[in-house]
Amino acid sequence: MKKALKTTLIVFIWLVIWLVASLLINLPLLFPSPIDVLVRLFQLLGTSEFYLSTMFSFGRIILGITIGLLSGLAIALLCSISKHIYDFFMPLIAIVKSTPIVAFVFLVNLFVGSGYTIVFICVLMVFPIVFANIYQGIIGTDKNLLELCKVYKIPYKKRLKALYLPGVAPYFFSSLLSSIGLAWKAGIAAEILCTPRISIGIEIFNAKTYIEYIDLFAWILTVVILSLIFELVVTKLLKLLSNKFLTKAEV
Amino acid sequence: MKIENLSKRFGKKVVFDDYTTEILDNKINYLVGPSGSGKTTLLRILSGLDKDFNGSIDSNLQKISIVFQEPRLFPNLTIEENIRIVSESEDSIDEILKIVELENDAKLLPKELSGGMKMRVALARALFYDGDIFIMDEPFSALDDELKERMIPKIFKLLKNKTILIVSHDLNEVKKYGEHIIEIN
Repeated sequence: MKKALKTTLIVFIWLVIWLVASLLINLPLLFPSPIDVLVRLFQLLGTSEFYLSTMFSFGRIILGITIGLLSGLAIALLCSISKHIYDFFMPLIAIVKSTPIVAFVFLVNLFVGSGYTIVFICVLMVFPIVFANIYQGIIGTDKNLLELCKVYKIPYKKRLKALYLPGVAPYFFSSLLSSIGLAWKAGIAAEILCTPRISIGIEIFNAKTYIEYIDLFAWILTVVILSLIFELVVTKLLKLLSNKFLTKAEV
Repeated sequence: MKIENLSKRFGKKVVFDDYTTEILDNKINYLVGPSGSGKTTLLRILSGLDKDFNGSIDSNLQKISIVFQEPRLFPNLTIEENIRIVSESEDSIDEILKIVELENDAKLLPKELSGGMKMRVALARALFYDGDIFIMDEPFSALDDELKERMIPKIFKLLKNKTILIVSHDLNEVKKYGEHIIEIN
């Protein structure tokens, strides 16, 4: 309760700072006050387009995060089996990590539709982070305990629960949480560039084109709120999972 | 168990050069020698963890109960789970816990134990696994003298007619319990 009150107070203070800044700048069309933006957001909430755009963007980004997560996990597991497999995948991972995301947006959009491009961009944001963290977690597995498992011939299923999962889970959780925010940012940026017909990105693009900055701020606020809610849900889920499987793993 | 013409080196350092010895079956074998003489290396070779050596080991051991120099416990598992993880057996562990004097601590996690208690869990785990041979690297060194006096005879009684190979620096312990002493120089 105390924490919720503190969070509300902090949000309120920032809204006041925003309000004061908008009053000082005094250009309501370019830098609207939070009151105007919140009023506009509530108006948008009453339209079906808002829900459609939000749902499509949300769906694409979640799909991208899921694929990125699974592919990062799978390739990290593969690479942990053999150094040759790791060496094989390294150039691909280096390219994904160092190439500007905008270049990928244009390149991928040449071959596939804009909706798929958004999904692909989210995959590219999540995949290298999840891969690097999980790989690190696997190769950092306690060598002494691995030796113990070998001598006592402990079956793989038990090893997984007692050794690998608790070892890798913290890496997996932190990589997932840090990549979610990035996937949201990159996903919406890709939408603005590719402008799929129904998306938050095209709404932001239109608001910017027609200089409707109150709309622009309202949509940005929507993205921030959605991203925070999603992160909160994932954090709670991860906590539940770690309580169930990690704190006291049953063998 | 016969170890014949064992040669082992780490880089330029020769640990064993044509070394031959014998571990007597169903006896308490103590392995003694100065630090760095290769005692732990020999235990690793016998337990199959180090296969990079020359020579032959005449043995058909399938099941090895091992106690390393460190307890090597799974941090997320309780004492009971740490013991049970090595076997599918549903047998009670009460007697084993009593021998290592941890009968009231089965539900604790390793982080709640002292160094000596952790070592006793490692011992209990080896006992529960019930191997053909017990290979133990200074298993009692973290225990105080009184506890040693109470515990060691009980352990050896339980392991009667088992082949045991123990590394120890405690000469009193070696003299008191050793049935066969292997010296490495």
